[in-house]
Amino acid sequence: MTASLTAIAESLLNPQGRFRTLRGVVPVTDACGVPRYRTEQGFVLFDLLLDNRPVRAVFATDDTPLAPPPPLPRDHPFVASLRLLRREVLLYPDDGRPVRSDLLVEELPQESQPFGDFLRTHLNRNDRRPVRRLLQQLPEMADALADTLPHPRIDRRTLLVAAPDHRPLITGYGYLTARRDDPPAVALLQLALLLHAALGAPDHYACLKGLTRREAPRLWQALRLQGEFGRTAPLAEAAALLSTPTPDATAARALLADLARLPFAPMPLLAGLLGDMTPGSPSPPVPDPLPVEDDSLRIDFSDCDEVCPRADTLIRYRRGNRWGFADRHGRPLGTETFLEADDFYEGRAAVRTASGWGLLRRDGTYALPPDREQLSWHGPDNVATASRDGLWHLYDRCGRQLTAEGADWMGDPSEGRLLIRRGGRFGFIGLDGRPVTTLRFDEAYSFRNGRAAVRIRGEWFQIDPDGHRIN
Amino acid sequence: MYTTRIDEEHRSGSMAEETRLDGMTMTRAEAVACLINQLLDELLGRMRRADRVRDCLDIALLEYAGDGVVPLLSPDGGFVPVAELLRRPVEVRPRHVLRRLPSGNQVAATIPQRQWIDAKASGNTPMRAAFDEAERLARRWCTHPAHRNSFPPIVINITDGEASDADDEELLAAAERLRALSTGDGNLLLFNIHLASETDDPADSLRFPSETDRLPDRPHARLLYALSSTLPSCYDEAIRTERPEGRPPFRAVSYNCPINTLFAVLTVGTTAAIL
Repeated sequence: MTASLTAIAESLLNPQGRFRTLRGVVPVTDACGVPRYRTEQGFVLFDLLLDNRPVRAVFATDDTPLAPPPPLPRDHPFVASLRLLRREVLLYPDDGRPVRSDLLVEELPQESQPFGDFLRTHLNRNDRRPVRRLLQQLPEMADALADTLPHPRIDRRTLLVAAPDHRPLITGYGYLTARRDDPPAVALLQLALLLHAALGAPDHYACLKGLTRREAPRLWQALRLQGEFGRTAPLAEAAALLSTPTPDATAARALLADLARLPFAPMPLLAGLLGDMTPGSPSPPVPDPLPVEDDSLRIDFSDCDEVCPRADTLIRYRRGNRWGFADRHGRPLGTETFLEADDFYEGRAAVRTASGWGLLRRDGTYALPPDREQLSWHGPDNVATASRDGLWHLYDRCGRQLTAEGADWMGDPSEGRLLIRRGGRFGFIGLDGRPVTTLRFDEAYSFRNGRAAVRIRGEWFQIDPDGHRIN
Repeated sequence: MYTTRIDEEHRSGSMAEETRLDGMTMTRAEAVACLINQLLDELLGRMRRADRVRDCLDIALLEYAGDGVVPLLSPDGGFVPVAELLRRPVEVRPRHVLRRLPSGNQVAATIPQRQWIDAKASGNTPMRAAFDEAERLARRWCTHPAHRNSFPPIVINITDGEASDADDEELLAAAERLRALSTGDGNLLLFNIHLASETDDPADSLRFPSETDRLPDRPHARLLYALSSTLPSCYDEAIRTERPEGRPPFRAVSYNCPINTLFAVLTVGTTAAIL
């Protein structure tokens, strides 16, 4: 039985006799004494003090066991120290019978700030020194990460900036954000672009967008689209560079130097990570659906090349270059496997077959058949964006098309709005596919904190979610 | 938007009887209120992310009171979204529990508990009125365009007694009207939880039975079984964790549910919609 948030909070607030090895556990609480925490899919993270040192404690909230951290040196310069403590804490779940729970402890540096807060407080048009120091350290990070193991996707939520030298530090290493082995250059590209967007266009900091949990090669697609605009030649080169099987740290450094000269990087177009871009090989014919009760066809996860954390009760696994889904007992979701597959979220997953991308249901049938050139499933908003013959539409979770007219390009949902482009003009639609604005902007960014930056001819201004100009 | 609705209805005069929860003696009404407060905290907590709130639940609470039901979260009886509940200033009171450590020592622990609702034990069990009000709320929710493809509403009825305002036939008809409501993702799910009293035989308890399980030889148990929905497959894994021997499809009913397992039952009923 997995413990509830209340059971975990109880043990943190009343630690006496409940921790096997840790001492001096004090949860950080709000004004009412409630421990401070946040949840992710399958995890909850509590802020604690351990002998007055700030740490983050991670508990699993479903049956997925916590994964041990990769074997990095404890004092690795760019990665927060992470320890997996097995059966560390005694919890009293709903029925009152105590159970011992594993716990991940992440040591956080004193006086550190989340990356977003750091930029907000330190970014100054007249003084860019703190950010420049970060940029100088990026090549070192490239070396450090290239020399070591599968690294996490660097996300502004998992990046801290540690005082006093403004050293970047990756937190949440390996257990929350790592879904695949990504080339180090990709993660650094994302980080560099985050910084450049803020550095090059501080007025557009509001347009910085948290990196999504995409795992399809959307970044490559986005870079290619940017290349079509003809104003981001270095990015087009980056796409070509990153599509090689083994980008190395030297190439990453050269890439970063090129990116430093960019005036801006439009973040709404950057989503996801560069995956394995090997050309699609002919796929075998899809056999009939597998009867679930046939035990001989259960998946042996120890025999798989890659096994991802469980998402939406299903486990995504890879054998060779094919992906599939199974439950935690190894019962496969049908017999069909995929060239690419995202995790299930809210009962749907984007998958790619030889014929294209589709939207898969948990019962193995398709909500959207796999005949799309590109497809993204936006679980939190329960919509999918997909293109066919170069035309993008918005779909609901049942595969019903919501947009009447297609778009040349469609962004990800942000605060209930999607940025679209048709005929060289930008506008916004809602999650129901209906237009919120006409296509009247020469340039536009997605919504952030209730505002979107847009341009008509030479004038930049901001609009609210209803499309009205904000004075 | 992907949204789920949860209703919870309970309370009656016998709820003034004493029970024990986490080592503390209290009335059954206090215990149920405590567990519902805990469930709301759990649901709302799981919706909180680092940079946003997953605003995908609409919640309504109805209380049996006299010959009808009264709303507890919203004065007009309507639903309250998660984001709004999280913004509400709610009183936090210390909740005391007794735990026995592996060393054998018994210790008292204190947990701050948000008080979304307070305990009351009054009146009868106007179950038909409750079903009718739930139907009115759910119908309005299901027909809203934004919810047309959402996970269907989940209605959880918590009671310790039989209906006081309808016979079995009327109750079955009211439940059938309620279960007939639907979204594009399926029919409304009606859970019925009957709380055990101190004198009830534990051998007569039933939790998420399947069609092949033998029901207790009690008319009320069979009635609650007939009132309840058959659960879709997304609940199978969570129920099998509680009942490894069970075979789906399962029924959304728990009869003679001990108070110390109520939270687990409520969690099964709600988390499948949000995970």
